Amino acid sequence: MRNKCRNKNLVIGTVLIAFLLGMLLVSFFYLPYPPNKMDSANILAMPSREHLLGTDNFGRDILSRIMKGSWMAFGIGFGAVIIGMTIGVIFGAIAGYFGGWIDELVMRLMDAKMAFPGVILALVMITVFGNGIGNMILALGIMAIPRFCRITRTGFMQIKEMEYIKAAKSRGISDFRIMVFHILPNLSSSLLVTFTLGISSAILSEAGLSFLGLGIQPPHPSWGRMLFEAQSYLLTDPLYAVVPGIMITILVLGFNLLGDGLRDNLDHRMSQREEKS
Amino acid sequence: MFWKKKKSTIEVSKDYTEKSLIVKDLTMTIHSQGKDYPALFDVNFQISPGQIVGLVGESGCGKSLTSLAVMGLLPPAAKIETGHVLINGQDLYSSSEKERCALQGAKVSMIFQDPMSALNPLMTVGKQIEESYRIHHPSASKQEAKEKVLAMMAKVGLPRVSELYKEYPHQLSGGMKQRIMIAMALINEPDLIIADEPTTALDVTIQAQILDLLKKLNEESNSMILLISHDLGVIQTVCSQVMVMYGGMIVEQGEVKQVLQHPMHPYTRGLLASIPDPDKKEEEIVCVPGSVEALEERKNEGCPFFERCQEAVERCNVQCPKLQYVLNRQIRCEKYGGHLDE
Repeated sequence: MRNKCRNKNLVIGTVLIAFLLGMLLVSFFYLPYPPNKMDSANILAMPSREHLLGTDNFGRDILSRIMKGSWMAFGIGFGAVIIGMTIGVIFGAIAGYFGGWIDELVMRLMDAKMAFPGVILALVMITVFGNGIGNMILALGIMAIPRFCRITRTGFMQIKEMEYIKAAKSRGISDFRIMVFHILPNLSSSLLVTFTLGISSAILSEAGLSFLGLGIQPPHPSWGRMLFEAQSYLLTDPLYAVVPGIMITILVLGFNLLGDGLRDNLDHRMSQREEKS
Repeated sequence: MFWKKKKSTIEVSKDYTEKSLIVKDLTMTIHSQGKDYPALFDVNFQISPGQIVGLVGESGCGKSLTSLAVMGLLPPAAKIETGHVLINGQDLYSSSEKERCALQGAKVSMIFQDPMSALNPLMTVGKQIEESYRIHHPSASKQEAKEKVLAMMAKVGLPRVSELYKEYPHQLSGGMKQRIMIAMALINEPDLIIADEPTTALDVTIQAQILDLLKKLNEESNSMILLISHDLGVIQTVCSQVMVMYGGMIVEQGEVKQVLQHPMHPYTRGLLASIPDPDKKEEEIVCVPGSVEALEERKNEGCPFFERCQEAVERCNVQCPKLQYVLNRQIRCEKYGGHLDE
């Protein structure tokens, strides 16, 4: 019974993400209208055959903007988490493997980082380095570092004590090879879970920053930005705000469910392995 | 502290390059809770090509620490106070990191106690052996390395090697895994093999096969083997020399036949008497009373075996006996004379 519940998370998550990925793929080849094309005759139109989700305050097709906006969402989500994971894993691996003062130094750095609220840090970075997609990805990536660093460190500390790591050392294999080829593969599943969960929080932060008017600048379509622009028309044209809101919800929910499902699967496998041995 | 009194005076000749393992005056301390405790004291032995030397003793008496010291894999808390480990004339602990890495795995290799946990579960066994080979033969091509690995796998008696090459450790039985470990230890044709209880985790029939294999390989390649075991039967069948350790010291050392058939040290006698004998079913099993004291609780003077020795005299509690030559063997016991501080 519990097994089914676990799979439910995974299945729903996969379906939601697959839907969004499908939309992303289609948008590479086909968009109903150019996303920035204005049509002053058709401002805030209701859904119709020409504009399936209606138009916004400049007469731009909402469906096209949503589709184009998925580029941003996925790009920023993956970009930020890949940056965060790379740096986090490197720091975590060094801290966990070597221990001692290096570990202490890295972990205090991470604590310092975690003491900053993420959005404030992103605000500071954007103020200092300027407004742009690159800086946004970088800021969100830095926000994701500590969680990867902690997970990697714990994993390295556990696995470096294993007999087969000592055996590998006794064969004269260098520390670097041991870290990359013998320890890191053991962490791939827990890193995958963190990766998935990290994407949803990065996208949520992106939407939040864009909503505040930082982050993605017009006329580029971004879901958070669209939400921001729609708030003045909430009463006259609620669909304009609802659509990007639903998209953000689907994306975040999808990645969260996927991450949870993967983690449950992993825990399940772990407990099975323990029962066996 | 008594273990710091003696400073090593050995002159190490740099150009002594013959195949050999010499452990000279090795004294080591373990740092724990702000204090140094002596873990190995005045360990001296040597192995020459073709020899299989056994090392016996209870758990906690320094066997594994000795093997790790020879391997250069000491835990961070351990510190060598005096002494040398010379492998083919090269001092392991005055060599640079690079020289040491070149020794590990190439000239010295280790067979671990538990093959179930000493193999990386996420790498195919073939890849693991191949990795050990290529680390020390960087110029070898992939094809060459693979052929070498397959040949070695066949040599240690594994069946259908080309399929096994692609399998993961969990797909293999315990005996097969231990053969993989042996193949891995032998792939670089090392001069010295340290086998740390290589058969403890295996059942009796496999145990015999593995021991035969070790013996055969030793005869073929004229290598040196340091076999650590607490099974005196294993030592008796395989080794030519034996060392008995207690409390971080070698207490008796000599030819297997002599030491195990005519044990002199009370501890060796106790160990031999503790082997259950099927002919004496009715009698209670004899054992050495007490247990090995924890490192932190050991006293620093007198014979380490004093508390448990049934033949101890008062003098034993005061002075630590010196290793003496008696009847073709070395023995560290008051009964046979000799004191450290004389």
